[in-house]
Amino acid sequence: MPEPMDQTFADFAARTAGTFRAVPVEAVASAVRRRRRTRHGALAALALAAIIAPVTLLNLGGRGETPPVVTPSTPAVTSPSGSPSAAPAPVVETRAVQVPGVAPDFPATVVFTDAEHGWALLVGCPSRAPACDQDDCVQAGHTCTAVLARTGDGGRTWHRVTGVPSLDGKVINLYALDGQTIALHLIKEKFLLTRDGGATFTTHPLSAPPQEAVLADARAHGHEGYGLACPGAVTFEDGASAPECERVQLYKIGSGPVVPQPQLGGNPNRASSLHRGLDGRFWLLTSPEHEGAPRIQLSEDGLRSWRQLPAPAQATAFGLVLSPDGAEVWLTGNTQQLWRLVGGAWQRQADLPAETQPHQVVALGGGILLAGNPSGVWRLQDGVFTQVPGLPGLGILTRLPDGTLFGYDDNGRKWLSPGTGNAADRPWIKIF
Amino acid sequence: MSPPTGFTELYATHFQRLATQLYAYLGDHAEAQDLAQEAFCRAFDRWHRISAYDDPAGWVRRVAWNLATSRLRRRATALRYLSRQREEHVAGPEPDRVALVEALAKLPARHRLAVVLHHLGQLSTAEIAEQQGVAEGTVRSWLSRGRAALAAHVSDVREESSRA
Repeated sequence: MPEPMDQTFADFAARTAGTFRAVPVEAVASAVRRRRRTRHGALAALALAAIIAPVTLLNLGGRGETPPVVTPSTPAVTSPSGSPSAAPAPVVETRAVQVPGVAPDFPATVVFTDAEHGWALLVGCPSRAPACDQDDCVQAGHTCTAVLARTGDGGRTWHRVTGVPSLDGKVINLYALDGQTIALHLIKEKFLLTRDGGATFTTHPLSAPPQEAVLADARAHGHEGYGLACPGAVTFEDGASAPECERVQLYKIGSGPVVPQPQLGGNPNRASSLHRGLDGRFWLLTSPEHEGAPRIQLSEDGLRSWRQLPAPAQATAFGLVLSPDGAEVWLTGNTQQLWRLVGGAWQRQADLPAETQPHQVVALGGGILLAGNPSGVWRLQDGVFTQVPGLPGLGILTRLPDGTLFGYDDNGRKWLSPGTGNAADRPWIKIF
Repeated sequence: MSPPTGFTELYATHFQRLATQLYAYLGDHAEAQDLAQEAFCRAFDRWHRISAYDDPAGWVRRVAWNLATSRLRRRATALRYLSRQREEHVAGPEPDRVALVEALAKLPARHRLAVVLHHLGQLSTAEIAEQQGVAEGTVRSWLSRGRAALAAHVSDVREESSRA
């Protein structure tokens, strides 16, 4: 018997599909013929659309993509224009992912493990020619050429990894642990792992992913060395959704489930997120099954015991954010609410900028947050969110283990801000 | 220009399915219709190449979702032409369908995308990751959070559907 959500969507599809009526295929042929006659004009219009997109998206959003607003009960969110306390624009340096021998137009997927070390997967398709518009280039599947490269100087120079087997035509996820270690998940095929900077690779079956991949994934999600999974699940399942179960388990990577287990819900309807602070504390945030507050659990003694913290009365799940030293704890709600744990109580803060999600929020320490949204990057200081000039909207904003901030914008460019601390003028590097 | 071999079948099989997904994602019935139409126009235009792919339907879906996600609707000649070719008025969505769309609209866009592609598009997390160019773990996170947030609304939607 299908679960209620599946049934709901099945009902929806059954009732909705008939409301759409495709035009006759002959009309499609006529439309395409007309388009071919006006190709040059259409391409020019597309180029203009690409240029103005970042601006027009603000107006097209419709669902929350408007600038943050002041809420009466909370401190203000302001934009730099007209704000007397606007921060100076940070220095932005640009570095290109240029790999000797590789065409410069190969789009790159880039990951960094610290300020200096990063990996790039560059994929070029035969259709990526001047006559090819962007959507054709997304496809091409098995015909694409893939090149793995690495940097050890923050993206100033990139070097092709020569020891890797052919990656052409593969769909690949990258799990980088450090400058020497990266696991490549070749979807539906296998894992490739190097521990020596790409000089040699070992092959691992999908049923036995290398531990380095699991460690890298845990590190990237802020729970170094630990994970949550359904009992018996292989962490990197292939071609299927994450396993579903009544109750997930907290496990130490390489060791197995910890004892005692905290109170955990099932996957996915009562999903939990795990956070490990550098102060040794572990935090667990579990979504409610239905309406209600999330469950917040804390271990302060190395996982030997857990206690539950009351959640803010108005909170309906969402994210938990820790400062670099783990001392500051922030909670985000799903309607831009923000709380900070002060003296064991949750204190409401300024609302997050519109559309900001937990994976777009980093705590810098000293009561300062950075939050990304479609409009830009915002800095919370002294109770006020102020837009950081010169930075685009970042769809992802995370902190690497060495304190470096890493994000990427909607145009696929990566943004790196090396260093620690919470200075407003920390430099940024745009990598494309 | 006659319809090429294979295209007509693909078009007939997938158009409504794709438009339904886009409607769930965008919450705009007319826009969903337009974007699905645009995606199939592009497929027609490049059919000699796309027909050789392992999964032409996947290509069309990817294009449609790119359009929907970026909202760079190409209101170009073909679309304007096609908009005049609709032969009949099709009734809009009924209230019970709107309930699910409204519930979906409350989710962050990426969570909504993952939920729609998984539950309506029947894609695995790996396939969604491939389409969106992100890590599979990221999609799992989107899907998990989206489903968790949507779960509270599903019972309401079902109750509304049963009354309709």
